[in-house]
Amino acid sequence: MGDQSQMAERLSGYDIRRGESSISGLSSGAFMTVQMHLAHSSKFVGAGIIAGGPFRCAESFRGAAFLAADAFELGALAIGMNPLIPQMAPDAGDLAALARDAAGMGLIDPIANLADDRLYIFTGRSDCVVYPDVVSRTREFYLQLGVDSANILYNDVVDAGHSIITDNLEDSPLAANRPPYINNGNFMQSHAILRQIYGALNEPAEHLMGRLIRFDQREFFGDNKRASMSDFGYAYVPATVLAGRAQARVHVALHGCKQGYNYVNYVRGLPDIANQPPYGNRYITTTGYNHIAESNDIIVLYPQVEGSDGGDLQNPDGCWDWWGYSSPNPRNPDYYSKNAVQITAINAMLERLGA
Amino acid sequence: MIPQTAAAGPALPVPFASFLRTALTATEQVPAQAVAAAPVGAPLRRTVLVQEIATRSAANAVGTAQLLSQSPDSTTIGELYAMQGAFMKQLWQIDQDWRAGLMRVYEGTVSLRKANTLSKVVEQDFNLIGQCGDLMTTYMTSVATLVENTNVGYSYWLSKKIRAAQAARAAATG
Repeated sequence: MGDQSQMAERLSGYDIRRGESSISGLSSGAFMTVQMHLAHSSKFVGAGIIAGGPFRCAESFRGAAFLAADAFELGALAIGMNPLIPQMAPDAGDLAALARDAAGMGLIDPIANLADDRLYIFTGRSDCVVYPDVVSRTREFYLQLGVDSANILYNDVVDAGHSIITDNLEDSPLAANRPPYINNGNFMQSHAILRQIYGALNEPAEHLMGRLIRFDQREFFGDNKRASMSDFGYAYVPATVLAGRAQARVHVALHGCKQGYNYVNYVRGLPDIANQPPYGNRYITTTGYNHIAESNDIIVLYPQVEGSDGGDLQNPDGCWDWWGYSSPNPRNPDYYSKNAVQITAINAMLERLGA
Repeated sequence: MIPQTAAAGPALPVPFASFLRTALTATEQVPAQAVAAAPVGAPLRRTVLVQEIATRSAANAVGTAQLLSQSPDSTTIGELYAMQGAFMKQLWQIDQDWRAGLMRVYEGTVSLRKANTLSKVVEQDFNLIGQCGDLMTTYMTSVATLVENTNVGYSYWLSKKIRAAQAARAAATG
């Protein structure tokens, strides 16, 4: 009995409306949102991108270093996050061409699937982690791929730092750029994302009546150490869906760097296990997704990624892979494709849910 | 079970490792597992990365001279000015953060700190030393990040400019 209470559940299937899933994320979660959205566009009707750059922007400049892995990491930092001036930001046209090539080779779903998708793209005016110049290229990138401009809600007018915005009093000030990257801006950004994607939704529930399920993620990535994924993932299932009284849609919510449930800060190169941040699961429980999901029959899937530093796998902040650290061959990275270990794992979770 | 060990000396052939070795007794050994995982190439890697920045800088200088001699248009010159301005602004911000940090540590040294035990006094003193070290680390990594980002970003910008200039020339002659 005691042992059973210590076991994470196996992710179950539900009655799902297929082809009506959606995805959103912050920062590295937003970069991964774009990758996942393109890789499996047949499954999604829309995406929410908070402070994320365009598809494969880390690969913008192979000439950055002799080794491919170094060039992509430098490209991610200098071009995909902190370009000094707008002209140093990723080139949306080049990246749209890369996306078409990838689709032509079957590495991602056909680009035509994106045409009628609905997008929410946000950048805070005070974001010093991923500059607004980069996020504006994400909008341009989607336009170049044929997404209708009327279907894109692009917001760059809020004086926010690098964060997902909530209306929780205990969250950081709106313009802050610091972990846990959850800032109080007097509105729930998760609600704005879901309303942009799905249109009019019921008001968020006052109380949660469903279940926040902790499931074993390991079966989705096997023994692949390059996955950099945590042992557990989470899913919120509304009460009506649990009871089998409603068909659900699935929304995937991807946390950003330093936001996974088991994130450990590396201090002077060592994991600071004695002082783990107390905000490990705030992204899962306080960002507002669950309350609006409850009243609108949406299952929210929260896959989790974790960090490591100094070894073969350089991902100290527990970020989703958007520069190739999980690729077995750095010269020919696959982190953006259907073959990527993280994308394969998230897709398998969606399939298991029934999406 | 007794863990496998190995002599610490050859594991990290760098001055810092040699310094640490002097603090260990002859019987204290580094676990073999750690030796196997030791980044033997770390000093070499540092040299390679520094050389890469130097090479990129030289290539940037040559490329800039080539670009400005062939197509010195006002857009390019305007972007170069904007770049310089953005670089100086970020450097100024790093300097502001450094000065604010120094002031915080200084305030810590002169403020009245309550402590009931000797261990607490020692801890408070070493906290200030640690804060100075952290401040220095942040300053150095911020400057290195800015230099590296600027170096790479500039190379990228330059490569795009040269490519566009070559395409324009080819279109004009073709």
